[in-house]
Amino acid sequence: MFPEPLYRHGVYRTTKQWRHRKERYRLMGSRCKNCGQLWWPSREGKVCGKCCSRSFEEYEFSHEGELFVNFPEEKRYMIPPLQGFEVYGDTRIYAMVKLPEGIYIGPTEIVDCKPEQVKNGMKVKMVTRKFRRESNGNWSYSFMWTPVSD
Amino acid sequence: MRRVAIAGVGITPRSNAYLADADRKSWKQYVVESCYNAIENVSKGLDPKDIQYVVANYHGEATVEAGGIGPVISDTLGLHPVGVTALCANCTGAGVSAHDAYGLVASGLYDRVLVVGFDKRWDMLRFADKRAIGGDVEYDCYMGFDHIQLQALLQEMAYRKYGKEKILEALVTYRIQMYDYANRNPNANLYGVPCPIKSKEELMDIWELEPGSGEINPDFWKRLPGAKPVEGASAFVLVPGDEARQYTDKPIYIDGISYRCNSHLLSSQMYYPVPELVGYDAVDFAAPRLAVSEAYKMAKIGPEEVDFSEVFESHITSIIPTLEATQVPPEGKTVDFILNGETGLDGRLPTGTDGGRGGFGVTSGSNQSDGIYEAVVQMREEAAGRQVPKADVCVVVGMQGEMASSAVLVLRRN
Repeated sequence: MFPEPLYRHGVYRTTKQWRHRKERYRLMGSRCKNCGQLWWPSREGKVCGKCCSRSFEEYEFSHEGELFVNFPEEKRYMIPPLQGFEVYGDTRIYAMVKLPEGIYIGPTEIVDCKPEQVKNGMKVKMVTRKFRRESNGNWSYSFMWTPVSD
Repeated sequence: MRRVAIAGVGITPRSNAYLADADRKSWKQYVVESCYNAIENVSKGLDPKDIQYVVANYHGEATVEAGGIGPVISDTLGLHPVGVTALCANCTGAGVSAHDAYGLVASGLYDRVLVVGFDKRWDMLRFADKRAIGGDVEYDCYMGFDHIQLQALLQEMAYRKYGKEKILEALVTYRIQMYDYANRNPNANLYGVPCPIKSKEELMDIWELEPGSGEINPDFWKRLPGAKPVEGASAFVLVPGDEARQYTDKPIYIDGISYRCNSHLLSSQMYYPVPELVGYDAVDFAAPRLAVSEAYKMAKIGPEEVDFSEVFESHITSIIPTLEATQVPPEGKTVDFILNGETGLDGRLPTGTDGGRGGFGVTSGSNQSDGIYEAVVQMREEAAGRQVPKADVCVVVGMQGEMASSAVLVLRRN
């Protein structure tokens, strides 16, 4: 009906998607060069909250971890999704994942399994899945998590 | 540093009757109404032109149709060329405004500062997108998560910490209390609305889908009334404590105030590696604990001296940590404190006496100034049917977005 997007703020610019590409595709965070503290998300351009150093190096976090807590959306909340996430309906499974480095990733999502199969404490691995559209119309992709099959 | 007092308070009602024509009102009308109510509430008189500075806050950037909003507010209030600091800190924003305004008066820079918190709901952003700006937007919103979904994760963590059945029972207890208080406050959103829950047992008997399964019955949620988002504003006037009685016979003094920040990202709250925060996880809500401790220290009081509280409690899990932060319930016994009715009118710590954020109405930008308004009304003994028996000392605990920060005030009558 309308050729132009109704909500400008709902669609992130392609340049932002590009800036975050290493986080989304490889789980790339930061390690403080001064005190060694690991940080997620990346603190590139920021300051270490532990020692105030501004010097970081990239750190690729483990792609496997443990499901710390989860919440399947269909369990309770039927709410309008954020702009750009309508295609996922009410089937998303929200989660926080604990990595072997002691860092938590979350909020994040569990995919490729039924909600009833999701249990806190289960081993999960990172997968790359279709995410949301960029402002130029391209689809972008991001990390999500799926159970590790024995 | 000078002592600081509240000389006048103002508010816009959140009753259904008042909000019936909310679509006809702009945020500016709410700001004007609450601010001029506060000025007129200064019982010995205050000329609006004597206001020297304004500190204002709202939910977050882009929630109203204005940018660089300070001069707009100054103009709206007819106060040009008075300066206005405008800030955003979601639901604890008005506490941050109070904190900054306090400094302006305590330092001696100004003698009459107006503080206003306001919120207009859906003029620009739709519901989901507005909620999303209550977090670490660069990450949460970008990844497609909004406030309620993050709250749901916190809720799951809280079940683990406190026990699911007990949390739900505390929630039902508090919701019933919310209706009780709100029906004693004509300004509250739920005023005149009977509580749909006839007894606690009515819901607790059905909370579990199958006995022993631990799965919550969807009907439980359907029958449990939630906190309703509304809009409006509240305001107050700060003056030097030693001059307060020139303005009013009933000054209320701010004897302790603090503002503390934690990460706005839940995963970072799990391990933030600084000594003050590292011992807490996301569901502990570190910020209000730190802020309350600092405010008590400043006021030179302990929790035993606190008579009542106004805390941020619109979410299922926020009531427990914010109450726990007051240090009045015994450590680790906050759920029992609620279940035993200690937050009711005749309890140890009456809390949310205006109906609370749930019953009065959740108004992000003014949540904490609404609490301050109620505290002042109680301390002046003007709360009629919801008057608490003892109102000498009150603690007001705010909370921002994903529990990222908290502003706290300790108010004293004398």
